[in-house]
Amino acid sequence: MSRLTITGIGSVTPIGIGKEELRQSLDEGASGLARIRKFPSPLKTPSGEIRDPGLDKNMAARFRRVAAVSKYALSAVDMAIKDRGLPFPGGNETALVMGLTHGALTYTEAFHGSLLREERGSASPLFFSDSVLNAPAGNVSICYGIRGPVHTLVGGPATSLKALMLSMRMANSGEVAGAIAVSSEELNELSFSCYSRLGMTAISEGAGAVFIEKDGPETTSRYCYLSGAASRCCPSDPAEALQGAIQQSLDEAGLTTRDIDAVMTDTLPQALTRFSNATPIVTLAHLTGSAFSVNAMWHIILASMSLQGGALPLSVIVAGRQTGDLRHIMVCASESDGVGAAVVLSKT
Amino acid sequence: MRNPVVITGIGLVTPLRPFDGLQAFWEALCSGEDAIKRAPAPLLDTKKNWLMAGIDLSLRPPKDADPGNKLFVIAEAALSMALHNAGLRNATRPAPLTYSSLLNVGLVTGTVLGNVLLKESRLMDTGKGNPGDDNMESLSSLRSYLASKFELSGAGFTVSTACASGTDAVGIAARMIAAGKCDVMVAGGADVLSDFALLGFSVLQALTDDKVRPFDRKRTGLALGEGAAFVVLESLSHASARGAGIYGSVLGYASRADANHLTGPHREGRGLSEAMTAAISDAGLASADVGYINAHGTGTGYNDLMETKAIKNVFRKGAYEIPVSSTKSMLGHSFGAAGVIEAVCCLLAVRDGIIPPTINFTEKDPECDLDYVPNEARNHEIRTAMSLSAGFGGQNAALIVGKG
Repeated sequence: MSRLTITGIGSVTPIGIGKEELRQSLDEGASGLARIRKFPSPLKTPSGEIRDPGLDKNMAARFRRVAAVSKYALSAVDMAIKDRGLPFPGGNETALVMGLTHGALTYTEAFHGSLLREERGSASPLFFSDSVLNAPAGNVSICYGIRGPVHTLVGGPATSLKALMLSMRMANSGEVAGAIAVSSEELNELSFSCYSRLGMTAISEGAGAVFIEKDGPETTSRYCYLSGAASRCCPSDPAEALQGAIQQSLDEAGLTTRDIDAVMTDTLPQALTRFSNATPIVTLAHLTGSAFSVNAMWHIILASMSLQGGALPLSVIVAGRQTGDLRHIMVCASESDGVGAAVVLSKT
Repeated sequence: MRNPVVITGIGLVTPLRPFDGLQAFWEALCSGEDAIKRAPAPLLDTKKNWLMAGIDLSLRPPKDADPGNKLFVIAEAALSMALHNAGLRNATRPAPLTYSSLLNVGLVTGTVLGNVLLKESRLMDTGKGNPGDDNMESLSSLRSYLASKFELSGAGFTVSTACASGTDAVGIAARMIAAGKCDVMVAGGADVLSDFALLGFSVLQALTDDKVRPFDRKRTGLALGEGAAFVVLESLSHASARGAGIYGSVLGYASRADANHLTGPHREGRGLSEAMTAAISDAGLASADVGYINAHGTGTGYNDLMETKAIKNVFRKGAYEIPVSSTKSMLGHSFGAAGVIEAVCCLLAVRDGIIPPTINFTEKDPECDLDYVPNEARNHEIRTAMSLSAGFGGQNAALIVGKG
C-alpha cells in the first residue's frame, strides 16, 4: 500500500520566509523576537512579527487587500505547491484544510469598530467577508483553483495537527490525489494586549503549509512519510489526552517511544516522561514566539526538513541530544481544555 | 463509505417551538409556521426592527436556571436532547453519563460566529479587551464547553466552513465512523443572531425587508436566524449491538469549493453540482434514487438561481420530478446550525413520508422552475433525501440520508 508522503513545504515565519531562510536562521540560532512595530503599543513585550514588505508583491491585485492572515496562508501554500516540483493538480483532485486559532482579527475589529461608530452604511464589505473564519481558506481556494473539499478547523495549538490529520484521511481514502494542510495567524493589537497581560511573553504570526499525497513512481520530492496520527480529548486531564494521542499514533505507526528520535512540541512536559531523557525535545517557540496553531505546523515543517537532511538544528534542541540517524520524529501539541494530538513522521 | 453509519439521536433548538422537542418542531414546520418576525438587533440600537428568526429564551422550562450565554444555552439543550434521544444519557441526571463507552465518543461542532455576542458585549462595554476574553471568544470555546459538560472524550474539532459548517460537521464525523476510526460521534452546529451578522449581511445587501420567499420571482433576500442542532452518529454494528433506535442512515457526503468568489456563489452552481455528484457517488446511488432535496434556499436572487441550475445540471430532466423545498423560509438562516437542522428535516421526511413546504411562495420565477413544494407540506414516500448547503468562501456541501 502506498504511504502518505510530505512532498512540498512552505513557511512564513518571523525568522525567515521559505525553507532556505528558515534553515539558515535555525543554523545561526537567529531570533525573530523584537518589540512590536506593526501597531503602536506601550508594551515592550517581544513578539514575532513578519516584516517582509514584499510578501504580496507577486499576488493578484484582488489578494493584496485581503487580511494578513490570508496573505501569509497564500504565501505558504504557494511555496508548498512550487516546492513539490510537479504540475499542481488543483481542481477536484486537491483538498485544502486550514487550521487556525484567531483568524482575521484586525478586520473583525475594524468591522465592529465601524458599527460602533455608527458608520454602518459605509462599513467596508471586505472587512465583513474577510472576517469570516474560513476566509483565508476561501482566498487560497480561489487563488489556486482548489475545488475539492476545503475545510477550516478552529481551535488552539493542536488545531494544525488536526488539519493535517483530516488532510491525511482524505488523501489516504483516495477522495483526492493530494491535500494541502495549512495554518496561519496574524498579530493583532487587541490579542497582543490581552495575551501580554496574561503573561504570555512572545506571541507571533505567520503560516506554514505542507503538501500531502500518496507516494508514487512520479513523486520527485519526498521529505518524509506520515506514519501515524491521533488526537484525543480529556477535559479533566489534558496530560492524559496527550498521552492517549501519543500512544495511539505510535500504535498506528507500529512503533514504541524508543523508536522516536526526537519530539517536537511546545507542550506539557509531564506527558513526555515516557520518552527517554536522552530523546531530544525540540521547539521553535524561543526563536519564533507562539503563533498559536501555526507552531505545530512549523514543527511539522522542521521535522520534514530534518528527516530529509538527517540532522536537527542545534538551536532548537531544548533537552536531550541527537545521537544517531533521524528515523522517526513525533510532533505533538496539547490544549488547556483537554485536547491532545500527535503525529509521527518517518524517514523515507 | 465503508462501515454503514446510522443516526440514533437528534436534538435541536430552533426558533420554531424552541424547547418543545423534536416532534413539536416537525409538526410546526410541516404546518408551514413562520418563525420570522420583526425584532430589534440584539445589542445595538439601530432604530430599526429587523426581520429575523430568534429564539425566545423565556420559553425555556421554568426549572431551568438563568439563561446566561445564549449560544451555550441552546447548544447545551440541543446536545443534551440528542444524547437522551439516543439513549446515551439519563434524563434525570445531567452528569455523569450513564453509558460508559461515551468516554470514546467524539464531538464535531460547526459554527460560523461562535461566541460573537460575548465579543460584541465586551466591545460595547469597554472597547478594550480583558485578559482571558480571547479564549472565551474563540470559536472553539463552544466545543470545549460541551465536551467538558458531557464528558465527550473522543476525537473532535470545531469546523467553520461558513454556512456549510453544520453539514460538514456531520459529514466529516460520519466519514470518521465509516473509516473505522471510531464507533460513535456527536456532530452538530450552533450559532446565534448578532449585530455583526445583521449589519454585515445588510452591508452586502442580502437581507430582505419583505417575507423570505425562496425560489419565488419576487424574492428579495434572506432573513437571519439562530439555532442549535446535534445528531448522534454510530456505526450500524454498534447501534445494533446496544439495541438503539435508528432514525436513518448517512449514505453519502461530499464537500466541494467554487474557487470563484469569497461572498458570491458561482453563477452556474459549479461547486454545488460537483458536491451533489460526488455525494451521490459516495452513496453508491444513481441520481434517480434521490427522492427529496432540502435546498440551501436562502431567498436571495443569486443563491436560488444558482441552486436551481446546479440541481438541473446534476439531475437533468429528472430534476423536475424531485420535490425541492427550503425550510429557511420558516426558520431563517441559522448559519452553522442550518445544515444540521436541514439534515434532520431530511431524516424526518424519509421517516414520515412528508415533505415540508417552501412558504411565502406566490409567483413562479421562469428561471426557477422546479417543484418547490409551495406553501403546503406534501405526503410523499421517499427512501433517500439530500440536504444542500453553500456559503462564503465558495463552500458547498451535500449530505444524503436514507431509511435506516
